[in-house]
Amino acid sequence: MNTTICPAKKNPELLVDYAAGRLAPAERRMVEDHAAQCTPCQDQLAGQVALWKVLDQMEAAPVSADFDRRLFARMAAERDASWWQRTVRWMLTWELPFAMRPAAALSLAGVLAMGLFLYQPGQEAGRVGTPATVESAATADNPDVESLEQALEDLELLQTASL
Amino acid sequence: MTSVAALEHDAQLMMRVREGDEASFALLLDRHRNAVVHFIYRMVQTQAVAEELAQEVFLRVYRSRTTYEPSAKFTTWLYRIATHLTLNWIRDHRSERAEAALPEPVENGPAREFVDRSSTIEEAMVREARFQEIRSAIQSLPEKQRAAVLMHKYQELEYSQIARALRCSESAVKSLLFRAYETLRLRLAHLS
Repeated sequence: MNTTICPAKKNPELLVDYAAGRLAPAERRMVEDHAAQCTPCQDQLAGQVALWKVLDQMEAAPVSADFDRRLFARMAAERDASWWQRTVRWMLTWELPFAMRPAAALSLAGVLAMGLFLYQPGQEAGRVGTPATVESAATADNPDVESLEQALEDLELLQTASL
Repeated sequence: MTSVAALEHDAQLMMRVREGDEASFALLLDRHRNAVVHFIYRMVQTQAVAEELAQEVFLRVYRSRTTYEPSAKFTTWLYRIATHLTLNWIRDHRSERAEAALPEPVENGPAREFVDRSSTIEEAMVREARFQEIRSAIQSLPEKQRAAVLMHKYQELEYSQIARALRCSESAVKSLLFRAYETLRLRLAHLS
């Protein structure tokens, strides 16, 4: 009996590879010859082959017909996204535990909001934080505030989508 | 199993995607979409979630196009992303999955493909029951064992590819697979 190989004791991957049909013909014959004289290997080999046939029976459901269309729509939306939206989306793909992502996202949004509140482009130096500055920041024509509001809305949507 | 020529073609297509050729991305998608969705489905057991995660896999492939280097087989990289996203999802939704332990009823999901289509209703019910047992047995495996089995059995990946996808050694993969198949042999012996 060939004792160099003995899947039951030494080379269990041979059992797996045999049932999967991944052994070269010579290796396959070696396993079969050994199994003919080794009861434990014979039993395990038969069991693995039978399991393979059982697993073969499990089919998967067909993929939705509009899978590609939805994917390409998402790709197009990403290409058209503003840099705010790309930043938020990038942040949501961080390797953070799920529970930490909302906190991290809100922290970033808070920092950005603070920065926007303190920095008012186009205003005279020294007037940051004055009522007139705050008022001008609140106008609908200020694109920076609009972008921030849009990014915060997108953040909520993205968080909802990630759930 | 995918031929060597086809694997090289995957890398060539991805290099063209890197240069802005979106038609090549569509070809890669067509080639690997079903396998990725099926792999994830067998992990998460919910078709809608599987498709959502599979879309995220391909989105990440697309986003990484400018920095892609063919240092490994394309399928190795693809299943590494898929495994990573799927295991993260499973980890994040562990409590929900514990509450919803039953698999999707057939009437609420897409039609299942049976091996023998010319069957009576009773035979179909028996076959569906067998599928449920097989799904349940695979589902009961620890996550890494489950991922290793699915990549090995249904995606026909090599040990080295599975090792890279699971970020462990080849010997660890062989150990995972041996333990997983041993568990499945015992649990599904009555079906063979």
